Parts: sequence; structure tokens; C-alpha cells
Amino acid sequence: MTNHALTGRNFSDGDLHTLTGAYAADALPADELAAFDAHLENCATCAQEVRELVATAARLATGAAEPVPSHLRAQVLDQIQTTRQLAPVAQLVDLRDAIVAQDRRRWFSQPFAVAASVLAALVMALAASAYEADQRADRAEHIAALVSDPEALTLTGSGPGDAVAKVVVADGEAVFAVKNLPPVEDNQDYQLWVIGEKGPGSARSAGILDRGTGAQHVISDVDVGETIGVTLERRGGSPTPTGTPLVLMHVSA
Amino acid sequence: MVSLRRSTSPEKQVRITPTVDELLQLVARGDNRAFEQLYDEVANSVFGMVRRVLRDPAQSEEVTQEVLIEVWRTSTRFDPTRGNASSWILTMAHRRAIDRVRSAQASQDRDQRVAQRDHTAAYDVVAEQVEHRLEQEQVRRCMQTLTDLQSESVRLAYYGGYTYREVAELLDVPLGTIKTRLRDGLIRLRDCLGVQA
Repeated sequence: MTNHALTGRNFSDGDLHTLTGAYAADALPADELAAFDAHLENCATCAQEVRELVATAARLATGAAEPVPSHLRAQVLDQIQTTRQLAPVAQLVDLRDAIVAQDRRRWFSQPFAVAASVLAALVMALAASAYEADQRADRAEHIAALVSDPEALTLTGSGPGDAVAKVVVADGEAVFAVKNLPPVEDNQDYQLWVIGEKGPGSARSAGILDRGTGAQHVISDVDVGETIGVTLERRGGSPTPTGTPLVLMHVSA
Repeated sequence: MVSLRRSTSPEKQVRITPTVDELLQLVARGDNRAFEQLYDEVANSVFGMVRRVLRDPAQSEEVTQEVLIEVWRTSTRFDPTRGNASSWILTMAHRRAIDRVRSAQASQDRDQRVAQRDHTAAYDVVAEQVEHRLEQEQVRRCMQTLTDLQSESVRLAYYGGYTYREVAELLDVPLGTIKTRLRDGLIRLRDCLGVQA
């Protein structure tokens, strides 16, 4: 194993990278944390090293393990009964319950086959009338391939009223489907966003959702760690989100 | 003539236990039983480390309890892309312990903290005399691959709760030197233990 301290590593700025050890040992004073966190956003090598050294520091803890006084167990288990957990960002809703049409003809029995058939059926049922039948089939095929990718992540979420949403993410690409959003006024549109880890300021538009009771959309560029959201905007969309998100789904592995 | 017998002793059976990551995922969905198992997996590490930092047994129990309840409460926000569940839990625990140390020490003068440093050295000797399990043995062995100066800085920072600036002051050594010792020390420990993240 190479001792990385001896080989010259190319870091992107200043000598903030020399603080990775101090940071991992929680030995950075409070007034230096913000600057270091900001540095980590811009230095992937440092971020990776921090991940490793934090995991290493955790071994100092496991190495110090001592039998915990036995009475503590019951106390803790008791207290969690009355302790609320923070709500997850995306609530789990099974979209399959909301979908009636299913087309199983083409799909083999793979883990994602049901989701694939369901989502493809949704696409088929909700594609805008402007599409030719064969274009619709091509897109359904592409989407089905995406959702049956064993590496694909599937997320579900909910929105106002009966609205349910599903996203399947594979290889930086995603298919977003939603049903039962409240109808929009003539001067409004639902807009889809990909929100980076830095928050709403970093949101980029993924398009306007088709008007109607349900919509599907292919998002061509989305990463783990980002959040997919839907807001209500003026007709034609906005450059940045102005409405409160109605649906929010965080892409985490 | 030697007859060969297939071993069927019960001790040879492999028991598959859920990982800390798997347990935390279940806990995030409100699974009480999974939380009990998670407690059994991590509580000794949390308590042992917090005790090394705080010394006082009553305070250590308090912080251990606080941490485990916080794990329950915020399990839904654990992001596996940032690291594994064990690191997340033990980092949370370490930060809480350090916060306590620093707020308690805010009003103390430097002499008392130097005395605490001597106490640190004595405690390590006692700890080494106690029987160790495999993990403790491995960490202890890997700490020995660090130079004396590196391990001293790591111990003062990690167990002593000193910021790197305070460590530099205590040891009367330039800031840059302490930064390097902490970084190189943890890198050596990482390589010796084969930590991956």
C-alpha cells in the first residue's frame, strides 16, 4: 500500500488540503469549518481523502470499545418509543397501485420487469397525441430498457391530494412519471427541476410537464445526490423555481 | 489407519448477521427490532470512545444515550453516498463528546489542560494492560506504525478534544507541523488498517 503522504498529490488550491487530518479528527476550530467545507465542494481529491480519514477515525472509536453499562439499553429502547423520527424527504407510495393498465407481453421475469411494464404502460397511455405510434413504441422500449437495468434506482414520491410520482434513474438518465396532480389553470404549468446538492439556487429546469391528469418525462442528466422536484409556475415555465415544490424526490443510492 | 470425519460441530456453522448499513436502512423506516440490533452492534464503540474522551462515567452514559437516540431520530437523513453507517454514527458520537469537552474547558486555564494531558498518557498505559479483543488489538498494532510524534498529535486531537491550534500550542510546535502529523498519522493508520471509503 502506498503512503500517499510521500507521493506528491496535486490538490486544487492553497494548503487547505493539509487540514484533512485535523478535520477527520474533529480538530478544526468552529471558525474554520465553513471555509474547509467550501473547499471540499471544489476538491474531489480532498473530499475522497476526507471520506477515508473519517472512516479511519471511526476505527479509533471501535478500537476503544468498552462494554456499555447494561441498564442503558432498556433506557434507550424506552425513549425511542416516544421519539419521532425526522420525516424522509420523499414519502414512499407504491405507484403500481395507482396504475390500472399493464402490458406484460414483452418483458422477461427480471426484478424490474413489473416496474418496467407498469411504467411503459403509463408512457403508452399518457403520451401526447402528437407522437406517431412507432415513435411511442421506440420510446417505450428505451424507457423499458432503462427501468429493467439492474443498476437502476427506483424512487417513489407523493404530492398534493392523490398525486403519486415515480422516478427510475439509470446511468445519469431518468424517467419521471406522475399521476393525479391537481389540474392547472390556463396561465400555469407544472415544471420539472433537477436540484443540485447546493439547494434551490442550483436548480435546473428539466422541462414542462404535459397538461392532463398524468405526465411522463425523460430527464437526460441527473446524478445521485440531486433532488427531482415539481413546482407550479406561470405558463411556459420560469428560469428558476418560484413555487413551493409539490413533489420532491431525492436521488440516493 | 486414519479415518477422516467431516466436521459437523455447531461452531462451524456460518451465521449471517445484517450489516450496520442494512440495519440503519431498516431503522430509517421505523423498525424497532432493527434498532435493537443496531444498538447491540455499535453501543460499545460509542460508549468506549466517549469514555476515552470524557472520562466521567456518568457523563459518558448520558452522551451515549443522547447519541443513540439521535441516530434513531435522524436515521432517515443518513446519506450513504457520503460514507458508511458506522462512520456516520461514530462521527456523530465523537463530535458530541468533543463539544462537551470544549464547552467544559472553556473556562479552565491552561495549566489544568496540561494536567489533563498527563492524565491522557497515564490512561493509555492502563488501557493497554486490559485484555483486548481483535479489533482493539488491530487498531493498537496499527497505531504503533505511526511515529511517536504522529500518534501523540492524533491522540491529543481525537481523544483529548484539542483543536489542531491548541495541540500546536501545547506541544510548542508550528501549525504546519501539526497539520502534517495529523494528516500523515491518519493516512498511515488508514493504510495499515486497509480502510476503504
